[in-house]
Amino acid sequence: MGIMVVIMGCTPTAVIDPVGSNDWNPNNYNPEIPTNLEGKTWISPGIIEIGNLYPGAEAEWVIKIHNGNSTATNFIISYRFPNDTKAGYSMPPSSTQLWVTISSPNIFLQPDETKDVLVNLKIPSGAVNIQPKWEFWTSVVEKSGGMLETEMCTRWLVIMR
Amino acid sequence: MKRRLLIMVATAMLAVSAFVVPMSAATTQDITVTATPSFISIVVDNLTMDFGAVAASSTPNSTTDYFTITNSSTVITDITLTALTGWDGGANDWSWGAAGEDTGKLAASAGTGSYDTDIAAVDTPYEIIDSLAATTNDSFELQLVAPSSFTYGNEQTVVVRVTSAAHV
Repeated sequence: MGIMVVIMGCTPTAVIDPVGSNDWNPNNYNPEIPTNLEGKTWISPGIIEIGNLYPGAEAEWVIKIHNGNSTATNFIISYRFPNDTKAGYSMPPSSTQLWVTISSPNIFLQPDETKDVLVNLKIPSGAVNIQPKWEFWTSVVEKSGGMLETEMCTRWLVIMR
Repeated sequence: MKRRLLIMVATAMLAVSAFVVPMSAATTQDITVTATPSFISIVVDNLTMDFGAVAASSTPNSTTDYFTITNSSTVITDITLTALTGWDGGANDWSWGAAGEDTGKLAASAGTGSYDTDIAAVDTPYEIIDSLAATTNDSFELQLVAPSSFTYGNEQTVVVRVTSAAHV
């Protein structure tokens, strides 16, 4: 029975493909791009839901980032504390920033180029006092060099086992 | 002999039961990650606003609707403004806050010219547009709440971040 518990703790991230193909690979997230987004800068998806997570386990998904500018543009990707949370969800545990790994936190995209950035959330096995439902955000900032800069966020909704 | 056999069978059944229960838990509670295809997309024109030389205790502002947000998101979004890191005046930075000596801030509104959104603190998001419908554009304007007096007369700049996230 002790061995069984160890196996459960090492269960690989189970990913349900959003389009229902049962493909486990988050890199296969290829949503159809609406025509109104042609020539626009965008990120996708806007919301990601993780279910049955627990200390010692991890989950991951890709953020697709597209540069709709006519010039090469720098994008900064990072963990972000939420402005607000969905009803019923708590703000993230204070250590969440340390639990989130971003494959490419700083990317430079050519005009009309799209890149996938993998975001991994791994909760340490010893983590305690985690709310049953909580939320964190990831941020994609488009560096303009001007007084204003734009930021597009993905909401990550986490439900613990 | 029969008694010993029964005990052995009972022990074996207990062992099997103990082995089966966690298997069931493991197979019915896999971690799931789901992402409904959606897109967040905003473009803000007029990436700079120059208030020019300002007088003490003045409140110069951009024209109403000065900053246009082209929202191509496929979901309803909320838009916030954040003043990052405060004023940068080189060696002589103003402080961020209500008008005072070398202290000023920004206010904003979304197309009304009322400047009723007080950007009172730095690194703090202030909602400027709640529930912006998908593929619907909007606008906002900024106002400078200038210091009541100046010790530092050098140019001050601030970076304002416009954030878009799905409305839930």
